[in-house]
Amino acid sequence: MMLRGLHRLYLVLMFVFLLAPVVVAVFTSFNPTRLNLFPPKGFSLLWYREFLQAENFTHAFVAVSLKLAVIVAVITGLLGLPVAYALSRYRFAGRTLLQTMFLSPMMVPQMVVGIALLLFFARYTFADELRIIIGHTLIALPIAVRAITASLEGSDPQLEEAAKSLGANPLQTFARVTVPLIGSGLLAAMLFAFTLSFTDVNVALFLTGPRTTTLPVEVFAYLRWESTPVIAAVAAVQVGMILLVALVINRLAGLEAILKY
Amino acid sequence: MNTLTLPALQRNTRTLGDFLRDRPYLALAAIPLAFFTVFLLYPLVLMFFVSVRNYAPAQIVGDRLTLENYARFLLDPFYRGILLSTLRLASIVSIAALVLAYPLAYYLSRTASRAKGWLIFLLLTPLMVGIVVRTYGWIVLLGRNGTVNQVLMATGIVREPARILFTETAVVLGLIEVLLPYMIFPLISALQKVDTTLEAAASTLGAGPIEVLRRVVVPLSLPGIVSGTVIVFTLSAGAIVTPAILGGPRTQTMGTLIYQLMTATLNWPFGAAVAFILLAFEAIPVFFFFTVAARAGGGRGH
Repeated sequence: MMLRGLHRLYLVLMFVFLLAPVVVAVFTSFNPTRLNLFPPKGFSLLWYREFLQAENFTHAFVAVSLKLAVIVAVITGLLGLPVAYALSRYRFAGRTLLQTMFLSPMMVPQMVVGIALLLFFARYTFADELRIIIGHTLIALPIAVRAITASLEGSDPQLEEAAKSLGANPLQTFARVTVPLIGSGLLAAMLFAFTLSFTDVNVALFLTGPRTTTLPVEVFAYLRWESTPVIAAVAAVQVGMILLVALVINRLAGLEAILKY
Repeated sequence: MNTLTLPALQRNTRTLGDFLRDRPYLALAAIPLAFFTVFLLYPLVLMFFVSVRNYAPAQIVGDRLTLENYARFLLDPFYRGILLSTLRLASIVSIAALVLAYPLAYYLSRTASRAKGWLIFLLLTPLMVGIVVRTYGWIVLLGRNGTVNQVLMATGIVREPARILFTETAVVLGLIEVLLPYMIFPLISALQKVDTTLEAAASTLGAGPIEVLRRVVVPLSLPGIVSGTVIVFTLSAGAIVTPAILGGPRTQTMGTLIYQLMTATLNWPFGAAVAFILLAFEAIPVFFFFTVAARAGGGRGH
């Protein structure tokens, strides 16, 4: 009986420990003063106004992070789908090698990806936005390939055979049968790439330029010197958005399926 | 004559399109493969070559091939100290994360509760929300007027606010929390593969719960323990944001040192060398675990 109680207590404490920072970050945004207090002393939307008036944060949020995350999601989908299709529908020499290669960026620490790209871009000039898009696509692609492969393997290849035998060419089969079959898995993978890009710091730290500072990098730079509840307001908006995306992914494919190691 | 040369001629005039039509997988993977080669493999090679160049103030990367960057780091007690304290930090974080996560992972892999899906959702969302938001949450919790200090003072444990933020304790706490999901998920997938009838068999044969855990469950979930620990060790040894913010300006780890060298000091050859030294030391737990796992696997065979 006591053991059962202890077990319960442990589970509750673990979830409190894991969720506390996020919950605290969100609720601190309602503080009426400059102090980072939780629970907040009073209720005010002062810091949300402050956030909307801070050009550096709104620019980083909308014009950089949101825009780049959408582009990264699309590119990740476009590059990830053919690779996943090759891996799940064909057996060929070098398939394992190809698979290992596409999963390898998970083995390379994100910081190293950032540094290697910084040195690469010092030698070959790319537009500032393109640098971050490339960096984020590299870290999102392996997870997307894995997730799309999983949903391709869950769909029946016989349906594709049927379409072909009824006279559809490979491209028609792909566009009219395969893509609709795995549409929700593909969309879930792209949404996950979106969140990876939107929240990344480790790669972006090395690649941002003066007008392409992403939101997490902007917040990080701010937090190194001071912290006010304006960060809580930024955090609250970000958490709300990510939570929504997470719920959609969960509906489409199940979050667990995407993050399975 | 003509009929003889025709096949040979055809083989010569086969186009790239024909070649790819026989190997559709190559056509599918070609662009992503090129993307990886150009933007990941080549930059990594480039990074290595930068790390073996001298530092030239005007052009940053000098022309001379040298090992002086590696030697400078390994011979200087100041830098060795940063390496050692980073490895110590990563060890504390990964061991603490393993101990904290294992029972939770065991529970989640065995429970038939309908809440399981939502519990997993709750574990994953913090991961998706990102490090910066969670690190800010820790500032609010651990600061001078923070929630933890309020509780400590209200319960009379301390009279003055304790200094927690900007200490190693804050960095350890923050890193454990940020990285815990990376430990839990490999553990869950390993524990799900452990056949529950083996546990039942062991206890029928008279093994107590601790004995079952020690001799059956833990050895069989070793792959999950290995990958979780390696991932958490690597991520905490290379962390930049959490030590920089929760450790305060005076805390130096390998992550913050490399970040400073690459973006502020702009000594790229030295920064790249330090990054490779960190990578080499991150490989230590991998080797350690693979020898342990190999021995345990060999033992099980008998």
